[in-house]
Amino acid sequence: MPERKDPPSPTFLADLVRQILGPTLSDRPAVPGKATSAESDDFLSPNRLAQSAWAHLARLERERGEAVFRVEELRDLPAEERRLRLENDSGLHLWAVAERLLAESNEHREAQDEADRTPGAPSLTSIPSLPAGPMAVETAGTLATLAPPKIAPPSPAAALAAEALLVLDRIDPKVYGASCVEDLYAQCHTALGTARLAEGDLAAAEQELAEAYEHLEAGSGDILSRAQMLDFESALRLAQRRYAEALTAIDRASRSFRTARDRHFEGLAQLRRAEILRAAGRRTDAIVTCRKGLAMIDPDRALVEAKRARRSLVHDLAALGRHDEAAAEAARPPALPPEEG
Amino acid sequence: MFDLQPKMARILARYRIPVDDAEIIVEELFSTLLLKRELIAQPERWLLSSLQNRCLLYWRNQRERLCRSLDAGLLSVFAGDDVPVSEKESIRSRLGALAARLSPLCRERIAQRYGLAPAAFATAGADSETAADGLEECARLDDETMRCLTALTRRMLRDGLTFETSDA
Repeated sequence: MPERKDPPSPTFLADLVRQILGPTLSDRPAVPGKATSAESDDFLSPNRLAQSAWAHLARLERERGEAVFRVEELRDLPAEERRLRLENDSGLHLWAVAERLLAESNEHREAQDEADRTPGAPSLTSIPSLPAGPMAVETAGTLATLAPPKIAPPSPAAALAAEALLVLDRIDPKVYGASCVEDLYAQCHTALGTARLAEGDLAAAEQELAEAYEHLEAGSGDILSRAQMLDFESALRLAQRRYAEALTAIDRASRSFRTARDRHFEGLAQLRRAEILRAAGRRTDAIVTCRKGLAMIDPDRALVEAKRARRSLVHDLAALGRHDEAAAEAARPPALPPEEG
Repeated sequence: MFDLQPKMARILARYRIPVDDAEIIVEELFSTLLLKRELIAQPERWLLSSLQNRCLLYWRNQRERLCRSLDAGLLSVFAGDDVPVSEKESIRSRLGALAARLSPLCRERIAQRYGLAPAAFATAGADSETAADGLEECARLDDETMRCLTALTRRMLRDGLTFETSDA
């Protein structure tokens, strides 16, 4: 059984805000969670921020603890019964239940990604080839209508993200704050779009992207959610062979990660950029970008991506006749960054 | 870390965010930060860059709201049977003069939307029909139309132009 977590205390939250704002507080009275009269006029005061965030966060943290059990209860139910419960059981209409379902969707997608990347497994590259240009989505639709009808059940990642959206549609944004709900909406649409993309349904992925954009604009401004959505956009444009747009999106994602000083994710964005350059036939640029990305990521956090990128790097070097470099790269242990070429 | 608060204040001032809205923005951002604390590598950098992003979104949303309300106002004037034809013509003529200074694409979009194209001037009934269609379309402005409306609104604000109707 999952362990039940207690919600954080006001003191914990005030301390957390103190840690974030750091020594700016050194000259302020240290009564956690209480704003002094001088601070009450200053909305940037950590004590005042902690105080205003407390009620909101305490509720969400309490819900998070509850959501673990609520979602666990759904685990063994058939899909249709799960859907009915999620639609009609008001006890499940919680922000944290949607968040939990989203987290499970992401876990499934990561597991599927890993399985796809093992040699011999079907992968994203099995998406039917599409002509280049802005008509790609429409063409995908035409291909789908010409192909014999086949009804495949949605992947677990897509089903879970869709369930999270089902819950979000039933919660009151006023209870949680609109931006908090909008952020989660954007993340759910991004997750659903990514799952649709993996299923090869480009038109549905495009629709999810548009939805995600709309919700993100009404959200809190979270720069990492924006970067993740741009990363998804670049993956979609890559699958549509709209390489210029894919590069624009990944460069914007990369900039956001850099602004937030998240080196690991910036490195992953560089690896995606290398993938786009490779697909566009720019192997030399792909090699440079791939090396840059490999030097930035933490291989322990992204072992699969690191291995895959290194394999592609060796392949590119060999394809360009740079056999010595390819051999040296192939002989390197995976955890080491590549040599600058 | 030492100067995070002044930096946040500087960003809010640079983007001229009204104080009441700024307070809500900062509170929401802090709630998000605390909720996602395990995923954020550098909280202070995240906070500053997300604040900047939110300020940009704030003005983009405000601008969009302004454009939508201008659009809805114009469409309801052109669709209203109680607005005299001469008044509609006067507004249309001023709108045409403004639209003439926009790009050809925007000129065409604006003309189509408010019945400024020569064909749309034929009868008053046709005007109302165009505007009524526009009212239905109002909630679904595509990106290109929104860009053109933004350009029109900006031009209108720059020229200090206002439209006064008889019921205003």
